[in-house]
Formats: sequence, structure tokens, C-alpha cells
Amino acid sequence: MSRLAAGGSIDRRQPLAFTFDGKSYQGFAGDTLASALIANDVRLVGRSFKYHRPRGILTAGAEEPNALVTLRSGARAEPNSKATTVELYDGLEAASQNRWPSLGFDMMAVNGLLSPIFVAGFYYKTFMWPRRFWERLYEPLIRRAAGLGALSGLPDPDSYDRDHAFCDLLVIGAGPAGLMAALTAGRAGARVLIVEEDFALGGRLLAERHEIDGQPAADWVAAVAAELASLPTVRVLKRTTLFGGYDSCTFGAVEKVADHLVTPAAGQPRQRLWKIAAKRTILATGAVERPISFGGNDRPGVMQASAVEAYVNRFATAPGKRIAIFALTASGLRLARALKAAGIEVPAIVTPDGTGDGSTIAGMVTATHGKTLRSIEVSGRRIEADILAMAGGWNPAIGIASHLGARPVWDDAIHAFVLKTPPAGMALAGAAAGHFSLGEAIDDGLREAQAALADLGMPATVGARPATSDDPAGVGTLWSVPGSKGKAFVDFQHDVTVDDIALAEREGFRSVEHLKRYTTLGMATDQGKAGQVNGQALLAAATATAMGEKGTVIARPPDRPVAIGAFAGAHTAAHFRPVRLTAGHAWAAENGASFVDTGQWKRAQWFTRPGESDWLESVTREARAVRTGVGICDVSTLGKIEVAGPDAATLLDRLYTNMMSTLPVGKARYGLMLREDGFVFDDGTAARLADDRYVISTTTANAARVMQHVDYCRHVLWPELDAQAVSVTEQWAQVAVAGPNARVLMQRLLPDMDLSNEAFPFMASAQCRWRDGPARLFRLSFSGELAYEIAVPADRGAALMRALTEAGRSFGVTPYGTEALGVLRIEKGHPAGNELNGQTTAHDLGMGRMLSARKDFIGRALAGRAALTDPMRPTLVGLKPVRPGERVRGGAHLLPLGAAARAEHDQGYVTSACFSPVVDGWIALGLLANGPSRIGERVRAVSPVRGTDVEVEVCSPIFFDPEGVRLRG
Amino acid sequence: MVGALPAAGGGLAVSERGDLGIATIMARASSTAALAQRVAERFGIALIDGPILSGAGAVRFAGTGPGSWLSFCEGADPFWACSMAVQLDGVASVFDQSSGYAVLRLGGAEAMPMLQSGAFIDLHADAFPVGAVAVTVIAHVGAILIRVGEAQFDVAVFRSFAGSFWHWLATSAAARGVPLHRFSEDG
Repeated sequence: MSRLAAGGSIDRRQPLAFTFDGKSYQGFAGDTLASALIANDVRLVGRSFKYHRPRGILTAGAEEPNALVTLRSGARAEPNSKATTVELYDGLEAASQNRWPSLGFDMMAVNGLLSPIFVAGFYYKTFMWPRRFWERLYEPLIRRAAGLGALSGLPDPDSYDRDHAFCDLLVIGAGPAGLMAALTAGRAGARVLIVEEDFALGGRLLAERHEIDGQPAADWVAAVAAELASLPTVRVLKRTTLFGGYDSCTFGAVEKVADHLVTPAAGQPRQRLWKIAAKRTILATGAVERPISFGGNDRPGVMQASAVEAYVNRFATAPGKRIAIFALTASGLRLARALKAAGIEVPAIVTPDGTGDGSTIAGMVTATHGKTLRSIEVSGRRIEADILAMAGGWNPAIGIASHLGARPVWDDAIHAFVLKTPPAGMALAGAAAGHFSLGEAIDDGLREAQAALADLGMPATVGARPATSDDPAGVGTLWSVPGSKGKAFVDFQHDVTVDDIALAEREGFRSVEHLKRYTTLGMATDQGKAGQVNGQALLAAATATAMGEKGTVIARPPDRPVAIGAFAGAHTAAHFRPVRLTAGHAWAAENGASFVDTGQWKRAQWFTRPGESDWLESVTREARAVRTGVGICDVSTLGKIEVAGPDAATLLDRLYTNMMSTLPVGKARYGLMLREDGFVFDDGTAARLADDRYVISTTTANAARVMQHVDYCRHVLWPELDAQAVSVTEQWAQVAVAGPNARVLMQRLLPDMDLSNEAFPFMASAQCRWRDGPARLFRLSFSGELAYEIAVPADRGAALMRALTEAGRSFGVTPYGTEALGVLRIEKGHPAGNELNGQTTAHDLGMGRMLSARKDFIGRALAGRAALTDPMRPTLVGLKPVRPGERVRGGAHLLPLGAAARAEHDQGYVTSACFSPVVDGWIALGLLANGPSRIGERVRAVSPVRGTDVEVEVCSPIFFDPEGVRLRG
Repeated sequence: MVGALPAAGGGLAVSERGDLGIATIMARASSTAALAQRVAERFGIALIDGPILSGAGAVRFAGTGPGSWLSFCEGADPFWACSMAVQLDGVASVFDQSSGYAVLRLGGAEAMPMLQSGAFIDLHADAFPVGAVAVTVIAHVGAILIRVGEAQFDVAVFRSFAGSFWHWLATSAAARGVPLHRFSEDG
């Protein structure tokens, strides 16, 4: 065990048991998985992505490239979890990844021996030929060899929640700058939201030993946390990672609600996605320490100095017995004091120029030795050390600001990219602003919070600035170490080395963006937060360009990997999107309906009766029942829009191709709408309820689009028209009653109305009463039969279905679904969604005569384009197989007889096909070039998808009752 | 009656407001002032053309867009919207929506946090005070929110979405560990 006897912010009274690769260990509450592994002397935790090199824990934060583990097992397994950010819990189960058969002995480590050929661009150069090998051989092999953890492949048993927050001031990061800012703004009564990724507040104060206001920093943090908790306008979100900045100062964050529990409690989500809107934001995300690119810098035991400091001070562990330091920064030198205070031997402190106290060695680490680190080489001299802490400088964590378009610039004073001009509404504080000392962090937090308050017109209460201990923060640079032996890594997770950068430069990839793509520098799950700048600096040096000129890549969201489940939230499986149910849904389900998704709606597709084993059997029975008796069909999903006002008629005349202003009150008319480009938009009916009021219907699919179109026309195109319109789709449940017995049935339902052909003829409409409530009756027919549509308020929809069933029981009223509806309309040659597909014109659908020449309407001018009136356009026809019993398939291509089934012979396609009970065979509608003049001609209907090739005869699209006698009967 | 809280307080009380007459009221062109005057005459309500609830009695008008309101009437008969159309004849178009919306009343200390978790509009009392109205989206379902009390909201969703909306409500309440009390209209 390497646990220190005292100190740290772990709770020694709460031991926690956990396993890593099946072996049992113990840690304490307050540990991360990484700190607990270190306390248990586990040095080797993973294998690298490409070379399968053994790797140990490098960092103590979210920038960790090495210690990626699979957390939990079974369906709850979560690959690529960073051990450095996983909060330890009792029963935690973790496994290493990307190794076979074991972490200690990994067969794929042979890749490391082959590394001379596995250089940057290796895949591009090597797997070019033969081309066909790529998909079948190369890619599967590469994917197996390289890569990270694997998904379980099982459905996620957990749920994900969502929340929203609004605040005056969003503080990102709860280190000294963030805490100071939140406190200042919270005391002034501002609505403050402070988000912290860690499970503890304090940021660097957790890891470093400082004094604030004469007390240990941890006490100051505790006092601030207590005060923040007491302020009614302040909300603190721990375990919450802010991962993206978006337009208008909105942000995305994910809160780990139950990630630190074995199993979430019932109903408890694993994670919660936050969408945050902030009037002002302070980015206090700190900085990420850089590694140094010397030979063997990836050996287990080589760690970031800041990480070693965190493991010693915060987690009370000794990562090693002899910890050497290689530092370019003042913070690195500070580590020596912490180590000595913890009783850990420091065999060497190395700085390139000998900066430091008298014991510092002027020189560089050029090599490391041991399976896990046993010694380092400094200027040819071996020094025994089991840990090397490297302090290579600091990268301000400015990714979130970059999401909002701010471009990083190089600062020669601190050798880092910083933001000189943060995005509007955002300020940077502390290390994120490139101000690395504690005093500056406190100052920044105070000042920026006061500035935000002033901006928002809120008076700031002046509090004393806490006194802080002295904190030197100098930073040096050393981009490469001359005389290095062995690989020197720049990007640990993607195995990008100093040599790869040089190779990329030699091969012409000289911009940072090209370098990134060619070498995959910074493209791993850690997004190169630690080492990417080192690679860019090497490129700058190789091209003799200043860093400021070479620049860096721009971070895009997410700043950290986020589980897709968090974005999906509760919207998975059956709840993937909202479902719309008609008022008659439950009734339909009781009557054996199978449902089909039509947009968000569930529509009854057919109603299976006892003894029926095949959907076609049910559909045929339903269609036959409508032709011979009476059927009822729920058509509530069709869009219904009520248009009212003195100019309602004028508006409809402009929306429809045909005239609606001449429609008398009490009548309905079929109507066609075009898009601006002249193609058919939608069809439906318009019924005039009063001089100044119509109700129009749309197809189910286009209901929302037509409503938008009507509103656009009213508000934007013709605001001078006094016409109002609103969707009433939800208000009315509507049922089609069709068949020779429809009148008898309707008369039973509405005994007080005269439904004779004279009083209520085809295309009549009326507002009436049913059971002492409002109702609407239309004599419309989609089936070609004597038919009505009755509408009642939706809360009576189920009662209407029951009343119709009851009233029609004696003559076998039959509910029918969308499939039978389809059969009936195909038999009548009525276009529906398959034909109104956005690519057809009125002429294509045989409705050219509906384009009124007496008025203007939307789409008129462009419908007259030569290309849209070309007779060679595929036009609606009927199709029937030449050999009875053969089945025509929807989507089949129409080709001349004898022509090869190739695209150049394509003359159209089958849009709709069905088995017609009245024809007693398969029939179809299709769009065929110059169709109407080819009646009687035979063509081939070829479906390469279904492997069918059927000879069909071109015929009229109306297969049944072409004179329309029945619907007027 | 509707929305009574459990004796212990706290939690979330949900009830459906089933007795409502609902109508969309849209002012005729250049008639917003005339409509306001008519509403003042007939209902004694100062109609506000904005996202505010006008009226405190049985009939109320919730502003849902410029010159557009959703009007509610408690205990309305099935032909209430027709009578409303007569009352406002010439100054507004009236469309019956009594059956078009499911209206839920959410009450209790958790009502605001619950709705906030669904709606990306600021529901803090300073930004969304009593009487405020918003046309927004919750869990991909269009919703009209009305703050009827400090801790009481009416939410109107198109009735076909009621099942999906209830699913959101139930899972979100469970996610927060909030006990959900469902009340029927008659208590």
C-alpha cells in the first residue's frame, strides 16, 4: 500500500471495496479510481492505441490519455472511462482495455516492434491496394488491433434526464477564481450557477498547499461552499461537466447523477443533460499541464507534476518511493516541497538551466528505463527513480470560449495559447486567463464578477479580497529534448511521437490543421488537451515559424466526450418521439387493430378478426365490406384548418389552384395546392361553413406544413388580407362512413337530418348536432362509394365510433384501416402520398384541368415551365399484369418490353400497388412517360430490389366505376 | 376541486381540467383595439395583447401571439365557442378548441422545477410571474404554459399528445424523486 498515514481529503472512516481486472482492492470515500489504484501500487493500467505500449496514470484530471478503463460490466459497462475522473464507490468494477490476452502480456504489443512502419500516415500509404481488400480485410483488422474499449452491445438499462437553467452569471469551474466569482455575485443577489466537474469544490486548492486569509485553503473552500449553499440565488452543480458553448450564450452540461453508484435508485437517472442560458459567463476552467517530449516519456511511472502533487496532497498517496522531478515551471519546483513534507524521497530535480535551489541538476531527461519506471537518464547519468514528475508548462483551458468563436493567440510571456478577446458576455479568470498564480486567480474572480454585476446593473457589495500565500508561477519551454533515446510522445492517447511531427512536416503537412489530420494529433478522446501544443510547437520549429503565426486548431464542442444517452434523454425506444393517438385509438385497439406510424400518429392499418391469419385477408375483407355494405374509418389524422374572416375566400383562391370563392355555403370541393415552384404541394377538400368561414382538410403527412404555409401567406405574402386561420385537427374526431349502406347508417345516427340525395347530395356539407353537441357532416368520398365524413369534438370521438358500430351492427358495419383505404383509392385512381411525392405536377397526376386560368394562385407561373408541361413527363396511369395472378410491386421500374433493365431505359415507376377485390387481381398506379397516350401498351415492371419482372398493360387509373355512379347514389 | 395539494404539502399535484371551454380568438385586421373594447364591455376584462393572462373570473384570455389568444371558460357548455363567436362578431374570428387541448394543472413546490426541466424558458418568478403565458415546447410536444399562481401552472397540450406528455411528466418526476399526486376532476 502506498497510502500516506495522514492528510488528504479522503475519508478514512469510509473504506470502499473495488476491483480492477478482477482483482480486489480497497480505497476510501474521496478517492478517484486512479488515486485508489495508486494507493494499491497498481502502476500499469492500460495499453496505448496503436503500439499497445504499456501505460500508467499520467494525470489527475479529464485530460488523461492513458488510464482509460471499462467501468462496470454487462449492459452497464462504460468503455473509455478516465480512471482519473471516476469517483470511487463501493463495489466499483473496472477493467483495462485494448489488450489481449492480458494487460501485463499483450500480444498486440508486437505493433511496437513494427513501429518503424506504423508511422503517421501509415494507413493511407499501406492499405491502398488492392482496393477491394479495404472493406473486407484491412478495415476489420485495423479496427480489431487498434482502438479503445468496446460497447456492451446491450440495451442501456439506465435512464437519462434533462434540465434547464437560467442565470445572471454562469461560473464554469469551482477553483479559487470560480469560487471567488460565484461568492461575489451571489452576495450581490445575482442568480448564479456554478458548475464543477469534480465531486469536490476547490479545483487546484484541493491539490496544492496554500493559505487563504491565514487559514489552510481547504478551510477557505469549505467556508465558501457553506456560504454559497446559504445564498438563495446561488446554485452549485458538482459532478457536472460543461461540455459546450453555443449561440446566444447557451451552454450544454452533463451532470453525473448516479455514476458514482453501483446501480441508480428506482427512477433515478444516471446522468442529466443541462441546457443553460446565462446573461454573463466567467470561464474559470483552470489550465492543463503539458508533458515534456523526451525519450520514454510514456513509461508507466512518468507523470504530470501537478498530478503527483494531487495524489500526494489531495488523496494522501505516495505514487512512488523515489520521485524525481523534471520541471520547466515554478509549480513543478513547488512539488519537491510537498513530496518532502510527505516524507517521500526526491532523488533529483532537473531543470534545463539549473533553476531552483542549490540541489537542482541543470540538464534534461533523455531516457527512461524499466517495465515500469526504475531509472531516468540525465545528461548520460542514470538516476534511480520510480516516478518522474514532469512539469512542461500550462495550457489555459479555453475550449469553451473557442466554441463561441474566440480565436486563441500565442502569449510569449507564458508560452501558451490564450484568449485576448473573449466572446461577448464571457470573461476569463485565473489560469484559464493565463494568470497562473493563486493571487491572480482570486483577483480575477473578484474583478470579473464585479464587472459582470456592473454590466447587469446590479450593485456589488464590496467584500474584502482574501489574502493569499505567495505563489510564483513562472513557465519555461522545452519543446524537444536533444539526445533523447527511444520514442518521445507528443500525443499519448494516439501514439503520436516527435518523429511523426517531423515526418509530417517533411511530407508537406505544414499547417496545424493538416498536421492534425495526418498524424491524428489531438484527435483522440482527450482531444490533445495535454500534448497537442507540444506537437504544434515542434511543427512551428520545423517550419521556422513563430508559434503565433503557426496558430492552433479551434476547439469545437463537446469539450469532453458525452454519452449519447444523455442527449437522447427519455426519448428512446417507443418514446423516441412523441406519439399522437386519435380519440378512437382505444376503440380501435379493442377491435383488433394493428397500427402503423404515420408521422407521429398511430393509425389503424387493419382490424384482424378471429380466424384471419394474414393481413391481406383482413384488408381484402374490409375493402369488400365497403364496396358491398358499409365500413367506418377513423380519418381524424387528416389535417383540418379553419380559415375565417372577410377575406377567407380570397386567401383560399390564392392557395388552391382551383376556385374556392365560388363555393356556396353548405358545399365542399376538392382542391389542389402547389408549391411556389409549380409542383403539387398537397390536396384535400374545402368546405364552406359560412360566408366568411371555411374548413379545409390536408393530408396527414402535410398537415403541419400546410398550416405553416397558410400562416406564411397570411403574415408575409398578403398581410393586407383580413383572414385568420388555425389548426383544428385536434378539436375534431372525424370518421369516414362509406359503402352502399352508408346513408342508412348515418340516418340512424342523425335521425333529425334529411340525408336524401336531394337534400344532402354528393359534396354537401353541414354543421349539425349529435347528442346535444356540435357536429359537422360532409358528403365526401375517397373510396368511390356513397360516403360521408362526420366530425365531432374529439372528446366524443370514441363514443362516435361506438355509436356507429352499434347503429350498424344489424348490417355488419365494418371498421377498416389505412390499407383498405389504400385499396379503395387505388381502385378509383385517386392520388395519395405515394403520388403526391413532391416531384409530381398537376398534369402528372391527371389534374391539369384544376389549374384555373381565371385567377392567380401560388405556383401558377412556375407550373407553366416547359419542363413541367412536357408530355414526356411520367404521368399517372393504371397498370395491370398481363398474366392474371401476377403481382406488381410498388417501386418497380417501368421499361419498354425487350429493353434491358438499365437506367437509360427507365420510363417511370410503380407508385402504388394492391390486391383489388373488385378486379380480383393485383393492380397498380404508376407514373409513365407520356402515359395517357399509351393506354393498351404493354411494358415491363421490374423490381431489382424484390427480384420481380412482370409484364403489365397500361390502362386508365380508374379501375372501378369510372362514371362515378356509386358515389353520387 | 382541482389542484388541491396533499396534506403533507410539497411534491407535485397534477389534475386534468376537463370542464373547460377553449377557443382560439384571433383579432380581425386592425381590430385589436375594437376587440379589447368588446371584451371589456362583454366580460369586464382588460384584454392585453401580449403573453399575459387577462381576466380572473370564469372566462380568461391567454395571449398566445400578436392579436391571438386562447380563451378558457370554466364549466362551459358544448356550444360555448359558438356563443363566444356571436359575442365577438365582427372584431375577431373564434375557433372552437374545447376538445383540442388537454389542460393539466400542476401545483406544489415541485411544479416550477418540473416544468423548468422540460421548458427552455426562464420560469423564475421575476421572469415568469403569475399571469405569464408562454407558447413553448416540452419534450418535443408543443405546450402553452400559464402561471396561475406562485406554485401553480396550467399546461395545455394538443390532446393527441396527452399520453406522451404524461410519460414525460411521470418519468421526470421519478427522475427527481418527486412524488406525483394525480387528482381527478371531482377530487
